[in-house]
Amino acid sequence: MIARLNILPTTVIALLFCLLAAIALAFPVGVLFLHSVLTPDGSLTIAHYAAYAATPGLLRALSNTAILGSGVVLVVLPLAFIFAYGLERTVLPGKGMLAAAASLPLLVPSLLPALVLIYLFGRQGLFAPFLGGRTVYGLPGVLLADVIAALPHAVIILRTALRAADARLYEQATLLGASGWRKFFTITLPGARHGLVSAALVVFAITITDIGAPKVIGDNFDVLAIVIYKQVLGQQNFELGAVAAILLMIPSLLAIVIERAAAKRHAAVMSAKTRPLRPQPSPMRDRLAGIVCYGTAAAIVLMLVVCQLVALVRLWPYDLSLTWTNYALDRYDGGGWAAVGNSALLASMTAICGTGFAFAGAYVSERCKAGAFFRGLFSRLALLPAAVPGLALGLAYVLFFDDPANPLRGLYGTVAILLIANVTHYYTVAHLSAVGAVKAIDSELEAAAQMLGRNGLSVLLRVVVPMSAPVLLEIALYLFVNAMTTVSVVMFLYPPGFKLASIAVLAMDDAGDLAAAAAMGMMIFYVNLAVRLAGQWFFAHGHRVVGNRAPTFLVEAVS
Amino acid sequence: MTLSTQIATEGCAEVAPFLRLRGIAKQFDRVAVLRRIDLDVPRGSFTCLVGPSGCGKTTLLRVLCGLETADAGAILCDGQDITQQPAAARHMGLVFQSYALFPNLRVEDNIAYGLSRRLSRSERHRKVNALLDLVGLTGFGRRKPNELSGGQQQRVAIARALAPEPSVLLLDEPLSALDAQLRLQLRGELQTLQKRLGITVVMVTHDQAEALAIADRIAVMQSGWIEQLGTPFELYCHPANRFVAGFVGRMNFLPATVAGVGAVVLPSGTALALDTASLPKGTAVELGIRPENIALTGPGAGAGIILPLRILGREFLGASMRLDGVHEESGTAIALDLPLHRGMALQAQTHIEAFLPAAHLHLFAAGTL
Repeated sequence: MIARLNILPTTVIALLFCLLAAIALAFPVGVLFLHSVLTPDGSLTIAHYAAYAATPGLLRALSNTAILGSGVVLVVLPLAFIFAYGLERTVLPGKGMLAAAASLPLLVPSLLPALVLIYLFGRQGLFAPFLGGRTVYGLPGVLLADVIAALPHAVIILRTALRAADARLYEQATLLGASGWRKFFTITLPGARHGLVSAALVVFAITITDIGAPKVIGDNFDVLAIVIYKQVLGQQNFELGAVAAILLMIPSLLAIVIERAAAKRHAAVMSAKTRPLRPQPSPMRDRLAGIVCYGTAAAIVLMLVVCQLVALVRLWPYDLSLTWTNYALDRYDGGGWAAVGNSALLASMTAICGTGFAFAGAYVSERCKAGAFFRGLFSRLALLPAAVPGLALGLAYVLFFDDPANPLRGLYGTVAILLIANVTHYYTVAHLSAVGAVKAIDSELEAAAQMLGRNGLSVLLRVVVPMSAPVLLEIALYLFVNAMTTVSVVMFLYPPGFKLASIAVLAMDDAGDLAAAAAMGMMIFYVNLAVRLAGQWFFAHGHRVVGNRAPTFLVEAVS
Repeated sequence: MTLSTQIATEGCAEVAPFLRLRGIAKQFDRVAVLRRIDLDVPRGSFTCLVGPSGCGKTTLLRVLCGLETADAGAILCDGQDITQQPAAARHMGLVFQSYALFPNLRVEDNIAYGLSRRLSRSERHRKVNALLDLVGLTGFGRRKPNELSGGQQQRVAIARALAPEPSVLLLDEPLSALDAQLRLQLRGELQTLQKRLGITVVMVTHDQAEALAIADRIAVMQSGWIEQLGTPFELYCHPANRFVAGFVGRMNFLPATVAGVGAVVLPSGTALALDTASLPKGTAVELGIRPENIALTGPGAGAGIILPLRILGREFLGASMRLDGVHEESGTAIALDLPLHRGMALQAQTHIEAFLPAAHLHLFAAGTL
């Protein structure tokens, strides 16, 4: 038995969701693709691709992107694996602290690590005198910055992969005389294989679509994201920009396909009954993992400390006396304090609207009977945003919404379009989490409530929503933090009157106001940290309230 | 194979037990899970540890193979003290309830996992194939575990455990995850395999019927104790206490009092001659009798108790009919098994007179559970 919404025919709702998905994603991306293959008079052509291939600089951007992506994967994967292994499989003190430190880069725009590298190793960096004329600009800098930015994502995936360990496999291997290394190579590594593939794909996709780090520290090291940026904003060449965006989409799309295929295979291998593994002390292993974990965590914390210091000193690195003057953000380009407020507002709206949409979308696609075609279509469309890089989506919106023939043109240049872009860009993760939450609720609970004479909406509000509350909160936090830090999604779309903090960091860096950029970057961090901590508090205290109330709600609903 | 030497020495198994556990004790978080367990396992025997969940039987098995260390006590294997030996050095094979096959390795690689790495490729191959033949999975070597059914997976797990030629094969609820039909089949195969190889087996199960069917010797455990150790026959026909009597098979219990040496009296006043051992007069006791030992009253019955019963319901057991009755005077529930043709004639609510022959009555001190 599956509960059904009674107030509106579900087919209409499913259709509505498909329509929204079409407007927010399918049509714009379609228009983007058309721009890459159409001449101005509307006939099919490969001239734009040919033009792209004929430009040596643009070809180099393509290979640079591939080099950067693979390089970051090669560095992040072992590092993240050891980090995750340290947290899940060894006996280390302060695991909570380590895990928190590893997730800090999620709270800042990806350009912040790049900024810090410049403060330390750039032309006027703290350590510039010791580098003998060498600097970090170009590939090394972008690589390092993206390693820091991508690390938390890989750590989260690999921790999940390493957590699902079956103690009995290890016991069996012990009895059969296997050494520690043999167990590692025959049980641990194969068990984490799916996680490793998944982490590699995610890290690659994040890296190649990132604009922050290459923009700040890339110098002449152009990547596809920079090409799009330059072609669109610099030369107004939307066709070449569209070609670059399409090229950027291909690996992301492939990554999604591989990921999903691997996930399907993986699910079949998982055994139902497992005995959780409790790590036993092993001094040598624990010490090595400890060095890597604490070293990495310290580097991340140090990065934020340096950034905060730069924001607080008069003239980094020459005059290190403390001052608040850099916090007079309004004196600089980029939008000043208002930008911080704007960003927080946009992030809040993205969190609220995105969570609502994701939950409604997940509920419709999981629990409604009618409109099978549209439900299926929507649950496929919902996976698509993950394959569309932020810059590509931004450009697609420009091409789609800023078209005189589009009746929705009024949206262009408003805050609404920023909101739509953000919700759309981060929809996939939100949707999948919400689907997981809805699936986790036994549909018989709803059936039971319904049998006792409650209608579908009442069941939804009094049973499903309270029981999913923790996941919904997690989704809202995810959306907030990402909307707060993103550069690529909003870069082409923000209206002149609504400056955003992440963009401001970029503008300040462009203008050479390093200290102000640091101050603004840290403001983003503090807002995110405050929201995250508030969320954490709610998990610890409010969660218990909600968690305990869920059964009460159920009793109310059925009584 | 060393297995053949085991068969050769089987004859003198009674002389010195192969495994000897003395005073094994184990606590988890200050809760005693094993309390000074003594257990002897003869070479080449099939021993079952049976008991309700939480009785410590799995912990005892894990202590035996070295996955847990005992807080106190000693384990001797073939005369050698192995108490402090690590699990890998004990050469014991273990099979889990959920098989725990390495999901990424093919069946043949799973089986070869514990083989010595000094063996040549062809030697390994030969051994793996021999084991596959042994468990009836010839030709399945190249499959992955998830391409096998539950029963096949369990056979692979057994083959894997046997591959390094362990001194003892330990089975932790090996059949519980299988459906009833398959359980019976694999149970028979397991028994045949054990007899053929002559290997010493210790199996943990919560299913007393399974233990009765398969084991040479059964240790009935409760709350970290071994309540009774014996052959299935001893356990069933001479249970040491009320717990064993109630756990192994079905038994009815009637309250009674010791009236004097060699006599008990029922609450109804009926007196009966019965061996009361050294119990003093006035001790509250319970008389136990299995349902199949109860008959209907008839001519030529010897000494025993006659109980008027009202039939509450019937349970068809195939060859016999189980009647659930109640002794209305005391409210005691009594179950009895009758041959089918006799049971069929008795409908619910019928009043009958049951005869409990004294020869089949067991006497237990009351309150011992």
